[in-house]
Amino acid sequence: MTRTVDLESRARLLERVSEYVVKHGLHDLSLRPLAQAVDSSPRMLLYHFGSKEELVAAVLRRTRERQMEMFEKMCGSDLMTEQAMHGAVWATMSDPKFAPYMILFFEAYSIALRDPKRFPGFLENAVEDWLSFLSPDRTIATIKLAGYRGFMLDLAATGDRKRITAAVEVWVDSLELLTPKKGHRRAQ
Amino acid sequence: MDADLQQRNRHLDLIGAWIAKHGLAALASASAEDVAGVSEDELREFFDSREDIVAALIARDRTFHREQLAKLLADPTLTNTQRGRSMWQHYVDAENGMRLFFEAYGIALHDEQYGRFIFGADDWFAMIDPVLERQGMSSGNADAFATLFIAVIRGAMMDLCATGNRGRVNAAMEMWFAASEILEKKLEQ
Repeated sequence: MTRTVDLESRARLLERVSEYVVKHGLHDLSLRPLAQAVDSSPRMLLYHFGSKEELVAAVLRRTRERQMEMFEKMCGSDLMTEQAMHGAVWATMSDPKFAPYMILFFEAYSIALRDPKRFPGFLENAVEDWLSFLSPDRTIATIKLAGYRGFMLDLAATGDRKRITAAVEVWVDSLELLTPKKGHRRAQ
Repeated sequence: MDADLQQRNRHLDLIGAWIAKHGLAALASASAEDVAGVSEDELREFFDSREDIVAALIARDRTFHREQLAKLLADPTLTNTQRGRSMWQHYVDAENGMRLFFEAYGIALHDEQYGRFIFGADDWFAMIDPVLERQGMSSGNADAFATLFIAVIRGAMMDLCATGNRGRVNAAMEMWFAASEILEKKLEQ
């Protein structure tokens, strides 16, 4: 019973902590203001998550899970064409409301490149989870992921939405050139 | 090349190798002796700050990539797909420089000093667009094609730096170059 209560309160805390971290980013993240913002204490955060790094790792995992759930729901219909699916994914990713998630991802990616042990598994999962979502064919999925990441890098750096959206439209139309001739279905 | 410039480049070589081994974050607190084998004062003769060093490394890499692209674009015997393949291999060979770029990119999102040299305008489009337009693409299609070409290469480099899986990423890029050859013809119509 105690264990269940613990897990439930950790899960509730993780939702609030994730909201805070998405909003404020990883830069200068410290436990005291975070604890204050989520009506907790640094001691309770450490009790539930172990360390600041483990807390951030949990936030990154939860954030990615939520994104995957959202995109899978959005693209779950068998009636949706590949082109429509990629158009919808890009529309969501490039929405200004999504910007804090992208910034958090690029910040975490940058930190993990410097020090992979800090967020164990982050770099691998940041690729593997998306590959399975984007196509059952890992080669095709790799190209699709490269496109999304490259366009997001460009958008976050230049903000040139008009130029990039025009390129995404050409790219989405060109994806049919990559599709194998038989038996191609999205990974569920 | 004058002696000062040679000395500066030697420092950059040493510091670049040090960052590749220890990561960019460690640079802020590392001593000049450790990273370049010189005193802090000597390093200051060439660079105002640690950020200045990173900016110089990234600017040098950017020049290196730009020169390679200019060379490929100037060779009339190459198709754009051959240029793309060659440029991809060039980036793969310069993986340490790309890692530094991505590391600095994450910092630039919240640090104006880094932002100025990371997000500074690239002139890739000014180099690529005229070549595509001469081949018959409209200005809009040339811009879109160049944008997506650069995006796929950068995104694939992100994947490679994260996973080190050259087999998968190289196979994907090979498939992409084959598809982009067809796409290019469509856009020229």
